Formats: sequence, C-alpha cells, structure tokens
Amino acid sequence: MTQPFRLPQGGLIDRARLIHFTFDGAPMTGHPGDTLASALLACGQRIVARSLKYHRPRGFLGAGLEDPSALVTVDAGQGRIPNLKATEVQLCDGMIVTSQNNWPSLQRDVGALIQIAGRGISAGFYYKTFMWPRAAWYRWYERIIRAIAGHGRIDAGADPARHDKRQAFCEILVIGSGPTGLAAALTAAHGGATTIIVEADFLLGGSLLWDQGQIEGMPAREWAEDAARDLATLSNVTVMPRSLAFGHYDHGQVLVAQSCDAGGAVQSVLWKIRARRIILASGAVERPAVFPGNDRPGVMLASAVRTYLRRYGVAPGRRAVIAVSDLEERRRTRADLEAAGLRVVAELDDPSRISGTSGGLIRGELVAVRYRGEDGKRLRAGADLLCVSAGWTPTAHLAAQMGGHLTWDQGANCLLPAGATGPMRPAGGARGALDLAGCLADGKALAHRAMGELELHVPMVVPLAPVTPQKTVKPGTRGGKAFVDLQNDVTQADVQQAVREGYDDVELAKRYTTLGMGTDQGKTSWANGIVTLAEALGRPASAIGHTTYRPPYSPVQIGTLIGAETGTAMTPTRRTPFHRVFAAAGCVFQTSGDWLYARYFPLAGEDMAEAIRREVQAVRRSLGCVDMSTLGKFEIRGPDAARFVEELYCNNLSTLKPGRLRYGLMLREDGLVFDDGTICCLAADHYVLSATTTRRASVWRHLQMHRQLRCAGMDLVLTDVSEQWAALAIAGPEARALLRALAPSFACESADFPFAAIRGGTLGGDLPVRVLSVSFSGELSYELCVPAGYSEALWERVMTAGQAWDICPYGLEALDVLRIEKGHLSVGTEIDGRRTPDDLGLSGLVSTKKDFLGRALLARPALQADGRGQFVGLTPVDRATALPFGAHLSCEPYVAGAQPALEGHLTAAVVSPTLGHPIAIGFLRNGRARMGERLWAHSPLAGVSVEVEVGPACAFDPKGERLHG
Amino acid sequence: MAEPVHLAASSDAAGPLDAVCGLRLDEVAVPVHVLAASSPARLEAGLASAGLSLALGQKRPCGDGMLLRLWPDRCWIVGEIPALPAGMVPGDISHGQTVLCLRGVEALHFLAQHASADLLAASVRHQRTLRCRVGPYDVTLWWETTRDLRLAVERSLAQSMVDFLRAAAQRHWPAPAQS
Repeated sequence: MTQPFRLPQGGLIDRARLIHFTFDGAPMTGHPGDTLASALLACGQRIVARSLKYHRPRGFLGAGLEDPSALVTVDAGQGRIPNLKATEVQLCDGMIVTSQNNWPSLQRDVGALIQIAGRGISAGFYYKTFMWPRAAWYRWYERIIRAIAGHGRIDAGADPARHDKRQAFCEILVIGSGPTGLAAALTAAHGGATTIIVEADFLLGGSLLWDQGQIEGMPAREWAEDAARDLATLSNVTVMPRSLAFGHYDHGQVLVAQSCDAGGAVQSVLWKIRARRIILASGAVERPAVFPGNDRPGVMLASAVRTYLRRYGVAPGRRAVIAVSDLEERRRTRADLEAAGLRVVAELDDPSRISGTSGGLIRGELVAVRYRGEDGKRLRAGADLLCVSAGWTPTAHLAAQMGGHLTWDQGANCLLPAGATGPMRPAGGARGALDLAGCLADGKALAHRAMGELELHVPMVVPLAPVTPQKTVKPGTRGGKAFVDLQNDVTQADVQQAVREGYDDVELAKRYTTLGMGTDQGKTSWANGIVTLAEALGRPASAIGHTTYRPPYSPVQIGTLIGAETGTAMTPTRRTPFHRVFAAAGCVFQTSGDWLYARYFPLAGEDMAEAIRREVQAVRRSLGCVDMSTLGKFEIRGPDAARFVEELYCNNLSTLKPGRLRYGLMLREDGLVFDDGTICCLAADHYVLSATTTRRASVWRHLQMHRQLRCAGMDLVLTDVSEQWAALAIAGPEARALLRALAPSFACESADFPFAAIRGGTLGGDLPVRVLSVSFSGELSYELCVPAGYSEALWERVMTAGQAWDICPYGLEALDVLRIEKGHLSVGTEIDGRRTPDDLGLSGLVSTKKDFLGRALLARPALQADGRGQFVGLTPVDRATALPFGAHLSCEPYVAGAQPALEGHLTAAVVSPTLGHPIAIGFLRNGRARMGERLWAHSPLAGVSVEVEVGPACAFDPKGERLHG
Repeated sequence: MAEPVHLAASSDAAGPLDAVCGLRLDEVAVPVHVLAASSPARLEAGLASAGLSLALGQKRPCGDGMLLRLWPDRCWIVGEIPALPAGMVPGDISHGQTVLCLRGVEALHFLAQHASADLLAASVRHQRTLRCRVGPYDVTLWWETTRDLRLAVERSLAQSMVDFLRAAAQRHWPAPAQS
C-alpha cells in the first residue's frame, strides 16, 4: 500500500528504507522512525479500533501514551500481544497488526448495533439489569457479557520472549527527556552526579521533537539531539530510551519497564532504580474538549497533530478545523498545518463553541464540524481533521502514587502536585510550568537544588518557573454523546447521572461510571471528569479531589514484571544435602514450603499409595531411613546458655545433663505454642536446639529477639547451624543393629546410648557424626547428623550396611503416616498458632517451678477455660470408611443445607497400613473427657459423613515400648 | 588437615556461566567459621586482643584467610583460623555455606545489576564486602578484584542460585541500559 498521507518532506524518519507490515491482513508500509500510529495514518488508516462499550469507530486522539483509543493486537515475532497502543509501538518489519473488539470486521462491526440501546446502557446499567431469572446469570448473561466485553485476546501459548529484572542506583534519576528532563539531566551530569535519564519514547527530546521553538539560538529539535549526544558521552550518565517509569515506591525506588531491541538477549527488562533524588520531568498531557461527537476518527489533540506533521511527516487530514483554547498553541498549530499544506477551514478560540460533529455514513469518521460563530450563529465546516485543545494536564501520577496529594489550582485550571514527595521533585510541565523557557529553567533549577540537597555542591536556592495560567473550557452541553473518557465510553451524561443517583464522591463516581479506569488510567479524562463532576455538583473543581493513583502509570507486560522467574525458577528452591542421591534412587520430590523434599521412593510399577504403604511397613517391621536435614539447628554457647534455654522453653530443663536431650515446647509471648523440637545438651555451656522445618527461620528470629531484649545481659553466643548438618534418621526395630554396623566410635548399646541421648564421634573411624536417639515414627530411631558435605558418604554407608535388613528409604508421606499413627504433632496442622500446651495434651511438660516466655499470658482465663478443643484420635466406627480430610465433627450426621453445631475438626486422616483401618487426629471440644463417644465427621465439600469414635491421639504402641528397641 | 571423606558439592557450578558474557562460576571448598560474641563490644575487644581489629562492614586479611565483619556481634573467618583469645570459639559453618567464585571482566557489573545494594557505590568498592540480596537470594559477598568475586549462599539454596545466575547471564548481553 502506498502512503497517501505521507508529506513529501520532513519528519524524523528514514525515507530511504521501507518497513512492511499488515493491518487486519492489508499490507502497509512505513519507515524507520515511525510508530505504528504514524504509519497507519500515513497509509490513510484513520479507523483503528472500536470502543469498549458502544463499539464506536475510533482513531487516534493522541500521538503518545496518552492516547486512549487506538488499542491493537501486535505480533512482532514474539507472540501475540493485545492492547498495545498503536501510538507507542515502534514500527518494525513483518509486524502483524490486528484490530480488536469488532466482528466481523473493523469497518462493519455488528457490535455497533448496541448503540441502538442508547440511554438504556448508560452508567451502572449492569448494576440494575441481568437480575432475573436468577439461573440465567451463569447460563447466559455472564457468557454473553464476557464474549462482548474486554479488549483483545491474550495469546494462550507460552511467551517466547525473554525478560529480565535488574537493579540500578543513581544519585539523580530524571524521568522524561523533554526540555525539562534534558536540562535537568545535563545540569546533574555536568555537576558530577551519577545520573539516569529514562524516556518512554525511543527518541530523546519529548515535545522538542516537534516544537517550533528555539533554544540557545538553534531549533529545539537540534538542541535536543545535541543534548542527547552530550549525555551519551558522559560516563556518569545512563540514558535509557524506551523505558517507561511506571511506579514510585518507598525510599526513592522507581520501577521502569524497558523495551529492548528485537534480536537481543532480552525483549524487556524491569529495572528497579533506587535514586537519592528523582526529578519528575514527565511533562503534561493535552486535554481534549468535551462536546457531542468528540470521539470521531479525525478529532485529535492539537499537539498530536503537530507531532504527526513535524516528527513523522504525516498529514492526519486534508481540511482542518482548529479549536484550541490557548492563543500561542493555536497559532503554532495553524502554522504547522499551513506549512504542511493542509487547509485550515475554521479556527475557534474556545472548543466549547463546537456543537457537534458529523461523520461518514458507513465508517463514521469526521466529515464536518458544527459550531457557533462569534456572533452565535450556527455554522458548519466540512473538515476531516479537528485539532482540539482545552489546556494541559500535568503528568504527576508518579508523584501522587506515594500519597502526594494533587491540588486543583484555579489559575492553572488543573491538578498540580506538591513541590516534593519524598525524594521526588516534579519539574516543568509536571508541575504546571508549560512554556519552553520555563521548562528549561525548571529542569536546571531543580537539578541544582537536588545536588545541593545531596551535598554535591553548595545549596542553591534557584527560583522555579511560574505555573502557567490556563483558560477554563467548559464541557459542551448539547445533545449527542459527549465523551469524557474515550477508552471506557463514559459520557458527560453518565457522570451527571452518577451524581443524580448519589455517587457524588469522586471515588464513587469513578467506580459507578468506570471513568478513569482501564489501561488509560484517566490520562486524558480525569481533568474533564473533575470539571464535569464539579458542574454537576455545583461545587468548585478544587472541592472534588481526585482518586487514588496506583502503579502502573501505563500498562506493563506481565512477562516484564515476571522477568526470568518462570517455571522452576519462579521462587528460590531449597534442596537438602541428599537431593542428588535421592534423585538417583528414583525419589519423587514435592515442594514443602521452599524445600524440595523427598515425597516417596516408588519401585518399578508402584503407585504412590503402594509405595507409602511399603515404606511404612518397612519402618514398622525392619528398617527405614528418612531425610531430616530440613530441621532448624541452633547452637548456644556460653556460661548463660542453660539460663537462656530455660527462658525459652516451658519445660523444666534444669535436670538435663550433658549427653542427653529432651523434647521441648516453645511458647509465644501470648502463651500459645510456637514450635516444638529437641534440646540437646552437649556440655553445661553448649546446647543445640532443633526447630521444625516450617518455623526454622522464625525460631531463629525469635531466639535473636529474645537474646537481645529479654536476655540482653546474658553471656552467650547463638549460631545458626541448620545448613551445616545433614541428618538422616534410621528408624525401625533394626536401627540399633545398623548403627552398630556403621562402627561408631562410641558405645551404642541400649544401656550406653538410651533413648533421648546424644553422642558425638565418628562412623567407621573417619566420618564425623553426631547421633541423636530420638524418634518421630515411634520406632527405635537414631538421627545421624554429619557435616552436609559428607551427606553422600553417609548415604552410601547407610544403604550399603542397611542391605542386611532391607533398608527402605522413605519420604514425607510415610513420615506423616507414621506420626499420625503415633499421634505426634506437626506444626501447621496441630500446632496452628491457636493451641495451648494443654490443648495438645502436653500440660505435663509445662514447668510450674520456673519463669519462661509466655508463662504470664498462658494463665489468661480464656486459655484455661473449659470447652477448648483438645487433641484426640478418631476411628471410623465401621473400621473401614476413609475419613475425609479436614472434616468437621458434630453430634449429628451431615444433612445437606443444615448447619450442625461444630464440636471440632480433623487435622489429619490416613488409612493406617499398620492398623489396617482408617484413623485420624484432630481437635474436639473437651476431647479428653469424651473418650469412647461417637460423633460424625462430615465434609460438606466431599458430601461425606462418617460415624467416628473418639480415642487417644496415639493409635499405635501407646506405651512407647518400641522406642527402646 | 585433609578431608577424611569425599566432600559432595552442593551445586553443579563448575565452568563458564555463559559463553557470550565471558563469566565463569565455580563452587569452591573453603573453610568458613563464625566467630561470635555476646555483644559487639566483646567481639571488638576479642578481635583487638588478637590483633585483628575490624570495624563493622569491613574485611581484612588474617593469615591465609579473610576476616569479614558484616554483623555487629559476629564475624566470619574464611580460610584458616588465626590464633584467638581463650573463650572465643569459632563455630564451623563450612558445610552450611556454599562459596561460589564468579570470575570475568564483567563480574562485578553483572552482579550489580541483580544486587539489592549498589555494588558500584564508592563505599562498597572501597570495602569490597557486604551482605545483600542477589535476585531473591541472601548472599555474602567479598572480592579483591572486581573480576573475581566470592559469593556465599546457604547450601540448600546454592543450586537454585546457580540456576538463577545462569538465567541472568543468558540475558546479560548486550547490556540494554546503554544507549
């Protein structure tokens, strides 16, 4: 396709080269330097989208990221990406572009028939309709609305593009590269500050790229090019084009999404830039005017028209009407239009004089503008381009994101930011200084001030440019759809209706009408929205306020936010020291927290249930081994180590002798159980504590906090050695025989090494080891702890020596079954942050002779009251029906729709391979007094109700005889 | 003393990280001990009496090894343990910390793009040691030259972090921040 609207000369494009692309299948061309929007306009494609609600034809209102309408789907070889603004997409060869939100075609969209409904689908219509019949909501309404609503269609395939996240630091971050940004960056850079300048566009210069002004005796565009070259040569400056600063966070952090060159190592980078000072030079967005038919293709912001003419060498039309409120802007627009050879058929000093527009019969694009003459007469001008401007709105979103409130300034007739928000300093257009000289002065002044604040040079009080006053342009009031928000199809009438229906607060009006929502976030609509609301309410605009600004300022691809963190790299994964040998042994792993934990070890042809049953039976009958490395291990050394341990645990530990260990219960300050574990006494001044895997990090923090606060004067040293030790527990009747076979350097017979003891030495004379006689399975068990680097050596020895007893490695699933059979506690299921020692049946552990952390609040009446849930075991009466996970306990069977009084709940349920029937543990109101009682365990979700009998939590070997071999 | 038993590595880091950016990542076996005291003052006194005075946030050589003080009340001894005053007992964490060696002309710049702290700040380049996050991993860093960095990470996270650095290296070139 030729480019009928390309001007014969001008523009920052490379006319010597052609770029080929397609739009809705039609081949088109552009040039390097074009955006997709400028290329489409050059090819005469003035309609590019259909609006969200009414499916009205839409063209380009703007020329940058402020454009609300021109959303398209782009496939540039990296998958199909919907909802890109054509005005932001840099044109590249082979790009496949499709329009959105239309059927069967953009030109003839059936969806446009929805306009017939007219006022029936005004603001909030979906709150008032689709009410009945009730069943129709899910059956029809939702499906239909989902099919109609929304922009674009996401590519369901995996994103082939590569993204990354990076960090950067600087003294001064400049956001925007217009006159203010360039002036600020040059000042900061030449002042010696490490400077980063980010620009959303692929060229630096902002408005200077199309401005007619002169700077330092040279055309503005040349000055911008010179400044960009200067910055590129300075070693303390990083220039980041195609980088959108979209979020402002605490302590000077700004998130920037950078698009990279096609064919590079990455397609986008999410930068987390932390700056000591941020100069917000994001400029201002021109405000459209509100009048009937203001959304037709051909109605454009005056600045956008000038951009297309001067930067891209594209004529957006042939016959133009100018309706610009500012005299200077109007003069420059006319000059640019005439210089490009376009005919100006009418010039209005106030856009509110426009009474309507007329469009083509089929395509709806602008063919005429109706307006009132200076004498009040109704006039009509045939035109295919209407250049409008109702003033400028500072782009201060980033300043407002951190809670900086914007204030409506009556003189400037717009929302203005405060002078400073944390380290951020709005400058130039972003604070309402709109003339070129003012922007340049503002950039310099704020850079000097920032450097003064950072003590990079002497403090300087450089005056800032004054805020530019702007005329008030009232929204049009005549018939027809006058759009306040083009992206969300919100009309002036919608806003007025919201006010009539009581949604008179700015936040409510936004949600009722969708004004300022969506990917646009109100860039071109909020100022007019505020004026419209103010008029409807009869209040000054300054009394309206604004809604909360949140990141992102403009849409960012999900892939960019994710970076490289996909698949297995999504989160950090912890592997135990045995991971490699377990993998070689055919282990099936599962994630448990951030750990990759051995789940079970299937034999050939075995499913999970069979493997777990075999593993459990091996432990009960002979010998098994399990990885215990994930437990926390903390060493406490020093003369006050014993006192410190006494403070932390509710047990009496004064009788714990060197070489022995004890099960301990740690409470929180509020008296509830925090964690459990073992306390090993290696010497009078040397203890090792263990913590559960789940609470490892929090117990370490807990220890440090109490070391520093409650026990500040104590002489002791804490060391986290959790990662230092690999631990493999051998469990089963043959555990001692295996330990003997491993040739420990210490006596390991029952009399020498009883239950609840710890020994240190070597295995086989060369493998350093600590052995704990402790059990979670209820069987005779030894926990063999070796320095983690020797884990594989330990595994080899255990498996080799264990062959004599058919040793069976087992995983987390079997471990869970074993502990449920024994009624042992697990953090997260039984120790769930709501239990006292008594609830868990462990009140006997709580010392009455000493003070300990949590003691005072454990005595609270509520924690001692009757009726608390107590830890019990449950068995189905028929000894056959499996108990549903998470079942509730009540005195009556479950009846659909009924809500029986709850007596408790199950925390874990399994079919016990040892006992041969299902068992469960859980909490029951006054459970210990209800032994033998029959209740119902029911799960409304599973639709199951099972009669159960209450018993002790420990269902196997209640006397613990097997522990001793 | 020679290791009596075969020492298993905690990651597969052994060789070029990425051919394009010329970085190399290796896991190195080096003794790491933690020397702690009940208070910062006691630690300082203990270090001073051993002739190893060291301010917070700094490192210094000690014997064939290195002393890193990145916590108020404890420091790390990387390498051989020097003579210490009675009562100061270092705890062995050699097996719990995986020490990775990142080498290459761009080593520091590469890491700086993923570190939560400004590794290129003058103070950091002067101290040449700090604790920070690299990506989502807590690491302890030290270096003598910017082309040869040491990263200590918890053993259980070592493989995951190596995978992260590999993914980052694949994305490292060309550096898109430069205009």
